[in-house]
Amino acid sequence: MKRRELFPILGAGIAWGQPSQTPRFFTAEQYRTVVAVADTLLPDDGDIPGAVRAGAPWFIDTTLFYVPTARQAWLEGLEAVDGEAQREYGKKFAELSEAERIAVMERFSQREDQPQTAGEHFFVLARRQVLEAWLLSEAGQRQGLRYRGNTAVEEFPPAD
Amino acid sequence: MATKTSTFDVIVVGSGPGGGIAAYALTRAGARVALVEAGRRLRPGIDYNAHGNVYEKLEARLKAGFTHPVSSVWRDFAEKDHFVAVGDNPRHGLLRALGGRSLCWAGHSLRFGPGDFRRWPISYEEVAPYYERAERLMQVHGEKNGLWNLPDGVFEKPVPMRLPEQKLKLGVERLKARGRKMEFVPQRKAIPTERKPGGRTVCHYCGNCMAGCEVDSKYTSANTAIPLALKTGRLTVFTECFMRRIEYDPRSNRVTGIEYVDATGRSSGLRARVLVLACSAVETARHLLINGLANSSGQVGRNLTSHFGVTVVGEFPDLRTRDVSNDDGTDYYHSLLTGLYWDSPNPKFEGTYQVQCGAGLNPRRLIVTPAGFGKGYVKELIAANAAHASMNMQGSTLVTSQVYVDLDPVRKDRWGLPLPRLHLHYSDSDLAMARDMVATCEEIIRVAGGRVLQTPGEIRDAKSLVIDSNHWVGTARMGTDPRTSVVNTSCQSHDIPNLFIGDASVFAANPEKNPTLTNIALAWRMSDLLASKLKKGEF
Repeated sequence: MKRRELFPILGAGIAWGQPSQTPRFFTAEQYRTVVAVADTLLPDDGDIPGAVRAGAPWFIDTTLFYVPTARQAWLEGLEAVDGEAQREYGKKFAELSEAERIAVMERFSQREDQPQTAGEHFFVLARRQVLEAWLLSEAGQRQGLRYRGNTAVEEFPPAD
Repeated sequence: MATKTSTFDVIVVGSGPGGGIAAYALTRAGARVALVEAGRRLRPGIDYNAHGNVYEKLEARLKAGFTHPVSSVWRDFAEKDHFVAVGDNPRHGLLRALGGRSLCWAGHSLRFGPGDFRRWPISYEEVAPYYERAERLMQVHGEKNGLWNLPDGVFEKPVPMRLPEQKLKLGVERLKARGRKMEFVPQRKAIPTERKPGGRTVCHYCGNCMAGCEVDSKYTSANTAIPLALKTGRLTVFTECFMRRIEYDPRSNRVTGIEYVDATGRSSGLRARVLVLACSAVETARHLLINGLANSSGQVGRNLTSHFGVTVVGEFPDLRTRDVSNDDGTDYYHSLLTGLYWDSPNPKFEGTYQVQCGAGLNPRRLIVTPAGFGKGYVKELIAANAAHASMNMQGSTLVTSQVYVDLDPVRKDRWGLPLPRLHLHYSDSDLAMARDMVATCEEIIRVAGGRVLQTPGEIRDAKSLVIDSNHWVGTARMGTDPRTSVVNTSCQSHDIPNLFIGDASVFAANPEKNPTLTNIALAWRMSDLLASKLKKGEF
């Protein structure tokens, strides 16, 4: 996905009624990296909406705005991601091609069971939080998982 | 209030499963009861509501100071920094709210069997009528399985097992055919599945039981026992009132009442003919130790045990493509592996364990997180979770002199009282039991055609074991000998005749089964015995 295509997708995030797409915790520049990371980890996949379309970057920014716990880890992680992109390709992560972004994330995901470096730790954190945000979104649940649960049903359907 | 002292027949301290039922049974028998609860009333649908669009509610939740995006009674309101942990990572759950931890329990309601009561001073037959009353009031669903040590009760229709759980059942059937002793049954829970006049709302299978059931389907003290007690006109509820002291008169050897602190910090007194403590096994022991009461045996805080376990997860490849679009049900566990070592004990450990089994794809509670990222990740996520079944061991820690509650010599709570200190040190028997569970569950998964997805593997030390925060029992155990036990078979203090205990502190021994139903049955039985004493003019 090219960078200019991210903005219409960002727009789709506003459908959730959030007051603004302007980030409140991240700077605009950091937020571009967050969006690119979310889109790399959980991209649109056929008719399954990805993390950006589900509104995950907004969800993460809003959470960090109110809850300080993971702030430091995110800021350090974004630095690691952009640092790697700069070293390898001389660009910010958000400016990389899809293949380049995947290559960066693949390096960071090599030891996800036992992360060692800042980038590896960030991969584990970012995938967990991006996935959680996606799972809690209407797009992720209803279109992604095709989940009908958390609603009233008369009978628990017996399996056969 | 500061100068006025109200007088009641009975003060019940603590409004969880035991205290709630004591208030219910005592008021219905004619007693005037004060129910004293340290927490406030949590309003279903307002203070907790797991339904709806999380994104729409996120801003308001975070603004209100909650740190997790999804509403949950447990996460949002459970006590923190309320005890001191010593040893093998003991955890201790405490919810100060009207209804206590009945608000966030899973509803699992299993009768202890005749074999379990062999280690008690009362028999199964003495408790059975109260199990039946409790099941009717709590509206327990389940299947009659005819198992001698997991007796059938009064059940509403059972909730079906999900497909991966049925695979585990198949594995169990295959091992039984080879002569192994075990059973696999639908879980029994205090959640209505049938419409009844005067009954609670029938479950709509949203899967959020433990987050707090805001439609009041799942049984809690707050939605059933306490409202029914209030209807008698004989119950007074004191919320946000913390018992700071038990008033005791040494000349008459009677407790005369309590001193409590309300939400504004003011102290007041309540007087009563009888005091019932139902604060939880840890908190009741703490209050007795702080007040130096009912402990001539030295057993208060001793004989502490909870359930512990490990988890084994299996995957059944032929279920990867199954439809999981509505798999919530009654929270996670729909089935139970039981009947292990009832008839012939395993020589390697004492007692036995059961295994709570669950499956399903609930986006708020995904069990399997595949490795990797990118295109294809979501499809793998769905397939892996659709195909998984999880087996969660529940065995009782061995009662030893190394596992107990006492008072921390330094640290105090916000009312200035010493914090309880929990000492947990697993025994070799506990480790051996966990090893047996891992081997047995891995075998069940394989023989059913699955593969083991997650396992603790070889258990070398206590680091692999996880304690259940909410199943502590035994700290004021029941017995016939005042030298070795705290209460008699009526849950009445051996030392102080008008002091009773209505929580799971009184358990004489702890089987593998979940404690709440037995706690409720015993508190009900205690209340009947107490009410007849009150009528006779005792105390």
